Amino acid sequence: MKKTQEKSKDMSDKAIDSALVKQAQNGDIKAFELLVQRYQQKVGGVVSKLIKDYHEIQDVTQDVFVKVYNSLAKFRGDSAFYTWIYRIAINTAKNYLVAKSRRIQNSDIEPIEAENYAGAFENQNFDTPDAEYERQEIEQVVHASISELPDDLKQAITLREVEGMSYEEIAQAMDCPIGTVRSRIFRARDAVENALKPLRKKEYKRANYVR
Amino acid sequence: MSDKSNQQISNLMDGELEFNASKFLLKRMAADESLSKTWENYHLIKSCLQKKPHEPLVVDIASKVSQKLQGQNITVGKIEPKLNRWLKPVLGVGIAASVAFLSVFMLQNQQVNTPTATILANNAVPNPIIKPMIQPSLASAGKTFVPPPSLSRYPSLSTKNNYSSNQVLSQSMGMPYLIIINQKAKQHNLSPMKIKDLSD
Repeated sequence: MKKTQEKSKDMSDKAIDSALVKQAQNGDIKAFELLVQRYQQKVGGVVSKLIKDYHEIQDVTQDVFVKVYNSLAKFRGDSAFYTWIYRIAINTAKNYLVAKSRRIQNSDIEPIEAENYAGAFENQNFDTPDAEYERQEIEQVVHASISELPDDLKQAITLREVEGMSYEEIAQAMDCPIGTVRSRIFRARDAVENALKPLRKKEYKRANYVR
Repeated sequence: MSDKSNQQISNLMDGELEFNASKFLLKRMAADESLSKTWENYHLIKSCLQKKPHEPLVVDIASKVSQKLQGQNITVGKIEPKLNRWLKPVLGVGIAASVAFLSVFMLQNQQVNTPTATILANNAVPNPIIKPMIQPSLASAGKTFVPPPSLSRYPSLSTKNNYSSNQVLSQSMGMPYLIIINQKAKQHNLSPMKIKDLSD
């Protein structure tokens, strides 16, 4: 009972979302960025079910978040924020496919001219092969640094992120206090982040350079 | 301090941070670049571990979206509650209805209180043009009525007002009163300004 009461004092996922949405509704773009960082992978995953090309996935995912921001005023919190984004993501991806097929049907450009046709690449943001390589590198670094973690940290982070277990469940599984679970998960994340930092700095510089 | 903040971010991500501390941290993260970077990296780690093998890793969308939004220069405003959206037209209709009701009510009041037409009927000179329009029985039933000054807002005007009509006259005639005056004026070769003398 005491544990349940303690638990209810913590901020749930929904509460975190609604707090960030509120900040964003008041014009705080940084708060919206935090929401994007929170959901970009999930949205990208949804979009990738309909669209296979990586660059198109990136573009459509961006469009989804722009649409989300533009209609943020309409979000009243009746449903979970992710459920709302999910619907927007599906619709945006479908609309993109319809527009694309129409564009292809209406296109009367000769194949030879297509290479120089600027309209074909409208609103697309092509990353360099370097960027693609860096993304693969990020994945490799994350997996490699997790495999190098001490067993207790590795187990804690895996149970949390891969199995989706709560701290309480992890504490039971690892037979340790919740405080220890908290600390182990943080230390694991911190270690992986330290391994990622050099890569991320490079990527950040490149992104700014491209802009 | 930074380590503590990072641990708080880690706890917040998993919904394991106390409510007030979470609210405070969310505001700090929106303002502090290094904290938001940590938030981003922790989520990137999460994404790498959770994503399915066929899914691509989606990175750095936030900065690009932010760039687009700043280009659009959009301000997000809270939409008014639904009730307010409905309330406006309803209020508009309500106001219009009450204004219409008031004007009808005032017109009726004015018709009851202004007897000049009865005075006209009593002093009427036989007129071939007006005669068929006024029912003689109704006209003769009219009595001279002088309104107490308190009933009228402008007593000086209402006692001399030749343009108003009484209820009986207005019921029996659908014709604008001004025309009658003109007809009378024509018959007696008077200008409209001299009608007052005629009724006296």
